[in-house]
Amino acid sequence: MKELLTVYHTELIKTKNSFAFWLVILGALFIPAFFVSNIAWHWADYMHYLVEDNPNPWNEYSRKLFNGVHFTFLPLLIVLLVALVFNIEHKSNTWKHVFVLPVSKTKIFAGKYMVLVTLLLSLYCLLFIFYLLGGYLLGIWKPAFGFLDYSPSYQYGKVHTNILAYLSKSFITVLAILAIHFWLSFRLKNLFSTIGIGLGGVVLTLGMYISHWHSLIYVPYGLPVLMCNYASETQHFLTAFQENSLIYFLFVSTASYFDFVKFFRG
Amino acid sequence: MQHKHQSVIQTTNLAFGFSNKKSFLKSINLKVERGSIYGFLGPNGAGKTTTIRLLLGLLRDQNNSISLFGKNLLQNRITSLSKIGALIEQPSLYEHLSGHDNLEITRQLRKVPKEKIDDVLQTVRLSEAAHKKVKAYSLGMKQRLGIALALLAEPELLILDEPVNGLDPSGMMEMRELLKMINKKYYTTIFLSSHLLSEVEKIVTHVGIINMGEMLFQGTIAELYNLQKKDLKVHVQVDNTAAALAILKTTYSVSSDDDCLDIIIQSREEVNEIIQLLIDNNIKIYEATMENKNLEQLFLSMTHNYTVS
Repeated sequence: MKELLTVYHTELIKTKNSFAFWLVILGALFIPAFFVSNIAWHWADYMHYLVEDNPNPWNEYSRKLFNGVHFTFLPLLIVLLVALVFNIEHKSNTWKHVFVLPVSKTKIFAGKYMVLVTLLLSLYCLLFIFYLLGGYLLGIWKPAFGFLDYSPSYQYGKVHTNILAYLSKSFITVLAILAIHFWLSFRLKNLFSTIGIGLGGVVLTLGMYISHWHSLIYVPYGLPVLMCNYASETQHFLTAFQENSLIYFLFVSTASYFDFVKFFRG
Repeated sequence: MQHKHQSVIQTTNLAFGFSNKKSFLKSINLKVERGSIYGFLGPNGAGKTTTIRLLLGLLRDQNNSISLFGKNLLQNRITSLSKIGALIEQPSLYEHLSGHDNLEITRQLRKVPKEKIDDVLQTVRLSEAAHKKVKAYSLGMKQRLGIALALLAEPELLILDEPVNGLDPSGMMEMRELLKMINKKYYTTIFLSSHLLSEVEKIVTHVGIINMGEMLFQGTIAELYNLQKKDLKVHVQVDNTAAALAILKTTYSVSSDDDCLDIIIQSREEVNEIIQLLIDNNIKIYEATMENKNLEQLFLSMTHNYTVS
């Protein structure tokens, strides 16, 4: 365990000064900053829109903001993040150095996964912070919005979802993409190849969104999109598409582990 | 207790092919003794880097024919790697990190005390540049940092693939002196590959020559030179070339050029005989130098004409 934590720590050091590190911060900031700027610019329209059917402005603010995050932006962000982390090794040609260190390949695999999950969790934490900050800044600037009078909330139709539960489920829906691109990114040295495959997956999702909506629950790149206008079920903690993401994650991670340990030589 | 003559690297009929149809390495039997500096020589494409990658487990040895420190590599990979420092082709460095951070990553994974980083930086003379990002380093500095990474855990075996690549003459000299010091001070076995034969010749104790995937020779430097006892040449500058030529040509193979003579001899003892002969015949000698067939010439003749069993 101690050795695994050491591997994890060294993997974290590798992300220092890297674009992957900055992508987490900028990626978490982008949609909230864009959306809040848009509300500020068209505040009169939004004043009516945000409080029209529901006095709590957080409901519509949350729904619109997180729709913007989940509709293609988040999948592409995950694809880029994973590709950039592995590009650190590919670009530096350091796999040959990594594999002659007295560390098992299992621990190297696990260490890289732990770092990616850490970066992803950091992304979600920062997204939550920027989401809150955006709402409170709007509330301070225009008290009439009511952001300071109500608590953060997510509601679609009549279904209320706790924000943290929403973000947790969102995290689960991106695990399938994480697993697929973890495998692709260590196998394909070319950064643009992995990004291209991710882009292809997102384009496929967009096409299916219009014509084959109901099949999206089987497409890994489409699973985050299903968090748009999300209404949580009362009977099960996870809905079907979230469970599918976990299944993809488990199967693909297991397969990529065996490929990494048995066959991958850098 | 160290066993002086124990083999640190031993391969038994090591063979490898990048495809099933053709074998790239054929029956390589390496034997590297503890404490030696072993020069692994061969022209480009001979199989040097492939052999090194096999020794380090970066390529899979299908026949289980590699032993490191007396133990099978496949079964003792982690233990063996903990005793090895390696530099393969270009140094593997994270250019967005500082030299210190690069060393820190390896230090943690090799469980080495923190103080060792400053020690190796001092050894390779990079202490002042330690906190600069590696992308700002010159090629020589990167090469030295690569060596520092290899030295960090005080390895029993250093495996260096083309360690002087890209270095200028002063950099090559520094690298040479550093490796000699490491070998002498720590009794570290050094296995280095190169195609720069003139550099290798200056530091190695043992040589292995590979060409087209086959070992042509393996042994000490002295054994290699002994293979080419003939064609030693003495270069002599005299006052009367014609007279000297007339005296010597009855006994030796001689060629002349203005005021110089080149005399082919079989052994160093004949040098004294030649000088004595010229003096006895009142020929004044201004200069007498021995032109040894150096390693480069020996190597070229071996890889073109020679196969030694």
